[in-house]
Order: sequence, then C-alpha cells, then structure tokens
Amino acid sequence: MILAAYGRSAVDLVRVMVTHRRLLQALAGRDVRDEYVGHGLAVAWPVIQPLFMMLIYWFCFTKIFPTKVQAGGRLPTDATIYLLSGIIPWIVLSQVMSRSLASVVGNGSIIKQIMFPLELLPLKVLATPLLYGGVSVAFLICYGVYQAGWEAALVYLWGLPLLLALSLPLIVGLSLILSTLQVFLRDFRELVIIFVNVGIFIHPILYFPDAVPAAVRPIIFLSPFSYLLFCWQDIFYFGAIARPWAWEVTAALVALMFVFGARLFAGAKPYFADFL
Amino acid sequence: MSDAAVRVASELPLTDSAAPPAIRVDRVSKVYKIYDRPLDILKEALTGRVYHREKPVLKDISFSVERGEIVGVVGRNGAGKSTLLKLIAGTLSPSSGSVFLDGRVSAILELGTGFNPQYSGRENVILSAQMRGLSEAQVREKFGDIVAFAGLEDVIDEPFHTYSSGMQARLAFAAAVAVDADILIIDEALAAGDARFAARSLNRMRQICQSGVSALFVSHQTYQVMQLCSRAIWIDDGQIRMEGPSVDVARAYEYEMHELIARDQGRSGRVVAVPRPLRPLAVSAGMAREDGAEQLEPATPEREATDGIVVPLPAPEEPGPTSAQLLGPPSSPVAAEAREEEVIFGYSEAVLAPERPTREPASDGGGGEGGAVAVEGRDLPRRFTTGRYRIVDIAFFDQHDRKTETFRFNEVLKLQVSYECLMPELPEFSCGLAVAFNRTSDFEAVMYFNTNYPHSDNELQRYFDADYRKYVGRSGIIEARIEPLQLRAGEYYVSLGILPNHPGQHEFYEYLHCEYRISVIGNGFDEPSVFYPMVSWTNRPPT
Repeated sequence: MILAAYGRSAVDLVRVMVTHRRLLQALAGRDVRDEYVGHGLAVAWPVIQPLFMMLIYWFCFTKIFPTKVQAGGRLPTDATIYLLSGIIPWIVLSQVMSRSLASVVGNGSIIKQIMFPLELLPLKVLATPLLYGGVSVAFLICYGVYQAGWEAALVYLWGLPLLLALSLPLIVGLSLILSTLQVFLRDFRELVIIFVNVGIFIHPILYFPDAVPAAVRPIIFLSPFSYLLFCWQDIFYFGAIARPWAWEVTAALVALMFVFGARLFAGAKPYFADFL
Repeated sequence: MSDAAVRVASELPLTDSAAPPAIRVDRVSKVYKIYDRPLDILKEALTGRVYHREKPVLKDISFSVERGEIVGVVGRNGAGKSTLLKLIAGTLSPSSGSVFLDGRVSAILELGTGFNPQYSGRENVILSAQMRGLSEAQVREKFGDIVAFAGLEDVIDEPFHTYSSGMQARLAFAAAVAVDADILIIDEALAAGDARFAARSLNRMRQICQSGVSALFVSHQTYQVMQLCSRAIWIDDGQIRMEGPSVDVARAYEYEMHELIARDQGRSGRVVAVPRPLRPLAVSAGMAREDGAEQLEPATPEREATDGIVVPLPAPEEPGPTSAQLLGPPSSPVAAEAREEEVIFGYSEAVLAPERPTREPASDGGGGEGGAVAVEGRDLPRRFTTGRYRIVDIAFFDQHDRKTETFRFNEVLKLQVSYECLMPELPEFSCGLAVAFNRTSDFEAVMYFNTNYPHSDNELQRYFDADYRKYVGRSGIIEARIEPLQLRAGEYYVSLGILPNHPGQHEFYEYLHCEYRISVIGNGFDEPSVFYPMVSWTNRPPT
C-alpha cells in the first residue's frame, strides 16, 4: 500500500516532467541565463569556469601534491584522469545540493501567487550544474582520448550512458529531498554547506581508498555519494566495471532517492505555502 | 447559513441551477500551524506529539459561485479574505473541507506579483503566462495584447524592478487576465494603477464577466464590489458574516467601517433602523417597485434615541395602527425596556450567518459605548449613527413642493433633512449635510455635494458667513434645493449623512448608505447621458 503510494509519486513526477517539459525548458534556460547573463563574457563562462577549475586541480594535485597513483585498469590513464573523474561528479553534486536548498524557499512569492507544478522548481535548478557537468565531462573525454587513445572512446561509448542513467535520477531525487527539507528545517542549510565543504576530502576524490588508513576508511563508505564516484572512476580511470559492488549500491541508492524524493515532495508540497 | 445562501442564489436571475457551480467551497477551514522553532516540525513528525500552536484563519466557510457570476469579497484586514482566495486558487490547502472548481483558474493573489524583479517585463510576462498554463505559441499570440493593455510598450524590455509599483501591478493584472481562464480570482489588484488603468481594468473585468467567466474578487472599495458584482460575501474573523446582493453587503460593511472609525476617534457609532419616508431599496427582497405615494408618510422618531435601545419598525407595507403608534411621542425609557424582547440585533436575517449574530445587551447601547447594533427587519433601511446628532426626517420634494421620489429633468429637486442634537451641549460647528447620488445601473458616482466645503472661489467668498453654516441649534432642518435638476432620466441611489459643518470634518454623525432611490423622468429629447449642462446657444453671422 505504502509502496504503491511511493510508486505513484515517482510516476507522477515523471509525468510532470514530460507534460511540462516546455515550461521546464523555459525555466531551466532562464536559470542558466540568470547564472551568467549580465557578465561581460556571458556565453563563455560556462566553458571557462570548468576549464579553469580543472586546470587548478590538475596543477595542484599532480604537480604540487602528487597523488599516489594506483595501478590503472585496462587503460593507460593517469592521475589527472582519476582526479577529474571524481571531482566533476562531486562538483555537480555539491552544486545541486546548494542550489536545491533555495529552490523552493527562495520562490515563496511565486508559489503563493501562481498555481503550477511545484516540482519544476527543484528540477529547474539542476540546469546550471548539468551544463557545468556536461562541459566538464566533454573536456574529460577529450583528455581521456588524448591520453589513452581511441580504446578509451569505446569504453566511454557504453560507460557514459550507464553513468548518466545513474547520476541523473540521483540528482533529481537529491534536489527534491533537500528542497523539501529546507522548507521545514531552516538550519538544514548550514549542515549541507558543511558537508559540501568537507566533501572533497571525505570522498575518495583526491586519493585512492586504499591509501587511507584502515581505521578511518569506513568514513569513505558511509557517504552514499562515494559509490557514485567509484562508478565514474571505474569508467574513466579503470576503463571497466572494476568494482561491481559500487554499481549495485549506487543503483539501489538512486532508486531509493528518486522514489523517496518524489514521495516526500508530493506529500509536503501542499504545506509549502504555509511555511514560506 | 447554507439555507440563506441557497435562498439568495435562487433570487438572482443570473444563476443557472442546472449547471454545476464554477466554484464550490464546502465547509472549508484553514488553521495555520505555528511552530516556535523549526526543529519542532521535525520533532512532531518523528514523535507524533503536538509541538505547535494553532491559529485558525477560516472557520467552516461554505458558498458557491455560479457560472458567469461575479462575486465580491469584502472584509477587514486579517479577516481571512486573502487566505480564502488562496485556498480557492490552490496555492494553499485547506485544513478541512474541500474546494471544487469547474474550469481553468487564473489568479492574482497578494499585492506581490510573483514576478522576478531581475527579469525584463517581457520575460516575466512570458514565464508567468507559461506557468499559468499557456503554451509558447499562445503566449506569443497574446503578448502584444497583454503589453498594450498594461500600456507598457515602451519599457517592456527593461528590468521589472525599474517599474513603478503601479506599472508592476498593471503588468501582473494584464498577464493574469490574458490567460483564458474559466475562473478568475483577483485579490486587490483592481486597486492598483492610476485612474486610467483602474477604469480600464474595471472595463476588462466587465467584459470578462459578460463572457461567462466566473470571478471572485477582493476589494476594500465597496463601490467596486457594487459595480462589478451581483453578489458579495463579507468575511469577518474567518467566517461569513454576511452573504447576499452586493448593495446590501457593501452597505452593511460600510456602516461597520464608519462605526470602527468613530470608535478609533473615541466616539461611539452604531447602526440602527431609520424611519423611512421613501420607498425602500428592494434589491434583496426583489420587491416590485411600488407607487411611492402611500409611503411618503412623514417619518417620526420611533425610539428614545439616547438610551440606545432600538426597536424594529414595522415594514412600511403594513400601514395602520403601528404607524399611528409611531407617530406618537417618543417612547419613554420604561416603555422601551418593556419592549426589549422585541429587539433583535444583527443584520437582515435573510443574509446573516446565524452562528454569528452581533448580539449585545440592549441596555448596553447607551451613548458612550459603541458596538454594532442593528434592528431586525429585512427591508428596513439602516443607518450608521454616533448618537450625537440624529436625523429625524428625510424628505424629497418636487417643483410643486410635493413629497415624491420621482422628479423631472430641468425642474426642482428639494431635499429636506431635519435633525436634532442629542448631545447635552451644542457643538462648536453647526450641523452640515453631505449627499451623494449614484446611478443605480453601475453605481457610477454622479454627483456629490455638501455644506461643509466651499466648492468654488465664488462660494468661498461667502462661505464662512453663510447662513447655513451659522445656525447652531438643538434641532433644525437643512434644505438643499437643486434648481434646475440637470440629471437626465434614470434611477439614482442617494446616500446622505449629517456631519460637523466645517472643512476637514469628515466623520458623520449619522450616515445612510444608498438607502434612497429616486427616479428622474426625461423631459424632452432623450439622450444617453447622465447630465445635461445649462447651455446658452447663439448662432449668428460672423462679425
């Protein structure tokens, strides 16, 4: 019975996304433009930003503090690829987290004013992180092919759709959950910001899990997001599904977050206007 | 209450009982939960214990709006009007009860527009129209009309925050009404903008109303409610205080506003029955227009004014002994007390929600203390009074000094108001009179005249020495003689009140809101205007 309600919410969410895709597109486009419009190099920023970020990380963590590289898998990859394949999804995740917090709370006037599918609010804020992620992944693909040759391209061909099939529903669920909780728990934001700030260190991004002392290693496995990062690293660094358990955990997590997020949001949205 | 609602609805010719109502609000209540700390929400969700206080905003509201019907909602700030509209628009959910809507809804809620201040007007219109359910193609098609209606063609590409608040409201209104909704919900939006836009939006509302759209709108301006709405609902303290023809509701609401203003200024004000020298307004009862002649009995005080006890007057359709009794001397306090059980307070029972009578002890209404007091009797005119002066009689006379409510264009209309002072000491200023005429068809204000302001330079020269400002006495008669009457044929509501006869004094001693209705009969060629100027013509060869 309860499961049916969860299932129905998830189906409804998909239906909203499909029926209102034009509006979602308009809102998302508006969201991206808000991020960059009015800046002198408006159109260039979505490209410059990730490129600059990648250069910094590449420089810091390969030239200044070289990462101890674990033996690669099938592909002749390097530390840079390891770093980027973890940091790109993490940056997207952290942008999704911080942006989704305000997506409902920051739109009180519209919510009280116009009757429309409120799901569009946490969905539209995904546009900017996704654009950022898309550009970054494009760079990563270029670098991977440059580094590992056309064999890598073949891996990306099947690996990337898999990664997207996991990552996209995950960020949708994540955004729905965070945007809802923020309405009722205003302190929630501070916790998320702390998590986002320390995230780059507690997740296996700058190091390999094996390099961490066994005593603190469980911390890595506590964060649900570590498993998604493992998947990205599997494809881009190892060139294969090197850690199948990570994929299984991620798949379960994605399903859970998407369905729970849909249900939570659907259950809470009638009360949004009361609390804004 | 539902009984009353049904009765009122059945009296309105507009309603079509076969079709389901466009809006049906069924026993809706809204309680805001107030949590002291955000964490309490989590605690309550987890433990099931109650960690909030409840603030009821709406209590068990039921009404319906028929297709094509325009219903006004009046009420004081904080009465729950906006919450009600939000519940109907769907941006809030009721705590209990349900709202049924039949058709697409478009709403302008709150004074905010829901527009993003950073976006240009164009982007806001497009986005908000899309959010209200229009497709891109539809938006493109209507865009020109929206902008033209708002009159913002020149600035439509500038950021929204650079607009004045009037411009913002205009654009929001234009965007909201452009959505071809079946149900329109408008909160205070007509008050926005300058006079030109107000007229334009009023016009648009009329068009929309005629196109079969149902609408519910909140306004503090009761004239707007009367102009646009066939029916009105008065929300007070989260409940329906009164529901019925908009004239009746607006009048009752106006009176209460006067009363509250009076109370704020340390005076008391009440609403009481008034002797009726003229044919009554019969909007709610649907009374046929009668020949006024028999009703022109001189009105007489029916009560001891100072003791605050009000006694219902018999309806004027019942002549005979009761009238004779009333013509006698004012009842003594004892007699009045003896009749206490006859006193029923509250507005006309046909429209008053029974669970909310403004009942006050009869002996408590005396001079100093205020409180809404009204006399039962569904067709009795009522008036607002402060108990300081009293209108004893109101009478209209024609050319030949006959009492009448029917006048001829270009002849004489004479209005006589006799008053008496109820205060132990006479006030500094004499007693003045203010009169307003409104066309019955649309409540257009046709003329307004009063004794307490000079109205031209010419009048100003004589004003401060004028006889009508000098006389201060225990009782008197103010006469306003209009000659010639320049109003064209038509029906007009007359509102009038007595007040201190000095510029800047606006607070009525007594006030009657649209209680009288006069007819003007054409005289000569019929023209579709309200007013005919006194023209002198010449036609001569050029010099």
